[in-house]
Amino acid sequence: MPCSLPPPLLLFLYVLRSSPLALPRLSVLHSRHPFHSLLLFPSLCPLCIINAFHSARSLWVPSPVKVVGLQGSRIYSSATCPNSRVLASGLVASCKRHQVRMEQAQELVAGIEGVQQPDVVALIFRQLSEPQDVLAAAAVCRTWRAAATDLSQLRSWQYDDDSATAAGIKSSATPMQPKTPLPKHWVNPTTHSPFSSFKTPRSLAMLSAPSPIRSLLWPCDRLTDANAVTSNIDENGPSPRTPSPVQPVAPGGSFLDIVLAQMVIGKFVGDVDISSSRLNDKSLQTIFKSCPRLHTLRLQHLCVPSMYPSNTFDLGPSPLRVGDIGPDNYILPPVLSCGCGQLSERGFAAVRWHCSDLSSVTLVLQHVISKKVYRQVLSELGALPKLHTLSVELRMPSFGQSVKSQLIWQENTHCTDKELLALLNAGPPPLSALALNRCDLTEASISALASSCPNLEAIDLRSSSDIQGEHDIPLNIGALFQNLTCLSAAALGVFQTPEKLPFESWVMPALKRLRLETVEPLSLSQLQTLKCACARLESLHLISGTHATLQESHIYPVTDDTILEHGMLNSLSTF
Amino acid sequence: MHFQGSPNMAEKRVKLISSDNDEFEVDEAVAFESETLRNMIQDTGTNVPISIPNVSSDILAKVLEYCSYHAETMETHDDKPPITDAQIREWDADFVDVHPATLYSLILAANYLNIKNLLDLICQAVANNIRGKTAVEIRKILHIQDDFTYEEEMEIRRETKWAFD
Repeated sequence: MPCSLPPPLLLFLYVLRSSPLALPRLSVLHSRHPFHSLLLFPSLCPLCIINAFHSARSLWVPSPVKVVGLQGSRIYSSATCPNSRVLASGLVASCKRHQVRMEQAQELVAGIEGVQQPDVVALIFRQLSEPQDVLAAAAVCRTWRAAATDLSQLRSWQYDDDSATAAGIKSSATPMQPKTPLPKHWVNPTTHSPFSSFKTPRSLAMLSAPSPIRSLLWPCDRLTDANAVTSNIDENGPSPRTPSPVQPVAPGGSFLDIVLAQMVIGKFVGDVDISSSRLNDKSLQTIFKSCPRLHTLRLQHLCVPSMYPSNTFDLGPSPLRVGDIGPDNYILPPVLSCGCGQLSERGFAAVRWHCSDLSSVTLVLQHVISKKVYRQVLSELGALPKLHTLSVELRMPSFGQSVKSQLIWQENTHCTDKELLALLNAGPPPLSALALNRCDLTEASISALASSCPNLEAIDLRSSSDIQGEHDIPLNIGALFQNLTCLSAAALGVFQTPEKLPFESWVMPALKRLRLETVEPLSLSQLQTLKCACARLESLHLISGTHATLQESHIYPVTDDTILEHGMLNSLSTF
Repeated sequence: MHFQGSPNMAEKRVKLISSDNDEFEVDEAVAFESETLRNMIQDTGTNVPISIPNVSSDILAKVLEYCSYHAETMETHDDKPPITDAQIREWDADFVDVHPATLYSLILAANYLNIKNLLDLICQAVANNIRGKTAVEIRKILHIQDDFTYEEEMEIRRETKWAFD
């Protein structure tokens, strides 16, 4: 064992002449003058030493100490005595008098082995949830510290405004089940439901379910976009993470306080999952700075309307509340306003330096209200050297309740070529799966995506009905994405017309799953052409029609028979 | 020594030999609580006694007591009310209320025999023991040596000074 003590204290011989009662003094002495050798004189039973060392709670054996014991004419040594196991076993072998104690000592030896096995230590760590306990345990010994810092044992940290747990915090040493499936799980050949086979993350479920805020503010009959129509398709109901529309102002400390308190174990955290309206730039920066080994990030920054006036009219020290009578007998109406933490591109600043291991990022951002902010967020994320999976959903903030603000948000919050190129130019990141919504892309950026990220396996670039784009799927898409196994082509061209889909050139040999949105249903010949081009196609999810006549079908498995059956059903329905 | 899970599953018996050559005979269902024993039995059958060289007889007896109880809880009896989860938890709590040395030996045995539930139970008990303690206190409780070098310890103390206070 390499010696690390200062040179003057390398060898300090301590002679013990008295009874084990002197051992506490020995321990104190060692704490002041660390010694490396200990000579034990006759008449002192070695097991008494073990007993004193191990039973007396105030004692511990200094690890570098070399123990030499004398008993009668026999001399035995613990050699370098790296730990008490060697000491105990050496002494047990020598003592003939205290059989019972010997057995206890043997059990103790076994026990020490038990609580120092890495897999056992890892199991013990999993039972610890409080940061203080984790930190203390990680400072016990090298084995325990290695277990705490092992990559496979990195902890998950979860915060959910709606969580039933105290303060919404959950910490676990095992990866938590992601509530939003990662894009790599979109392709699941074992399932064949159109919803589960091409399951988009909940974060991308905007097209399927109206946000609770909008439901609250907009009666169903006023919903005029595709979201409202397709909401009937989702059988799974609203996301369990969706917060209730109106929440009371959270009591207690700020979110930053919670983060500061919890992130003392940041170096042992590999997975952060936050669903909160209280998240803000400073908290996010604190998390990034505290978690250098972060590999998975899921943020759901939701905008929750609050039943308080947002812009408190400056009416003195106590702002008026709903129903209060203000100046000139003006009764404040029940105003729904946004009381959320501000999360912008500043929250993601320098994430590449703080968390260079980050490989999976899922974001639901409800406070991004300009393309510039979005572009900068993507730019920061694009510089992550190990980013494999990226999923970003933009949602309309709660203050987009009026028609005017809704229109402004729709107008200014897109993912255009500039945004996608910002992501690619910052790295490019080694993406294998990419999901973005509100896309308004052209062939130029799609081609750049294909050339910058040759390992892409899954793409879901969705548009929205309010985006008036006329962009076709690139003719050479087959050549661009050779490795693609999963493609959602809804946004590569918004509601494609079948005539603009040259399936004969869609030669994607690895493609297994395809989701297509078209204005009109695909014909039998088109489907057969597609089947020939993509020989390994297993699942075909087709959505056609406009808002009022939306049709959805799923072909699984994709064979000549199922295609023929689908074509016949289609032709029957047209009659 | 004989361990029996329940009367209606006592068809195949398995012989286990501890490190100190004590012989235990248990129902196959009891032995199957251990993944290691299950694999061994599937390989060699129930006719060959299975030697467990690194588990002593007293510890093996404890382990088999646990397996026997939990195998029994899986069985349904017409004449007995089913064992509730609360009763199982209470029994488990009593089971791990033993001398620390025995507990640690049980960890080794459960780990070797690959009895996941038992291992989780014991690790939970150990974790309960060290919860709220400082690093120094944990070392004392578990008889673990501080093997950090001077520099390592200083670095850890700098990071988390309060964890040692």
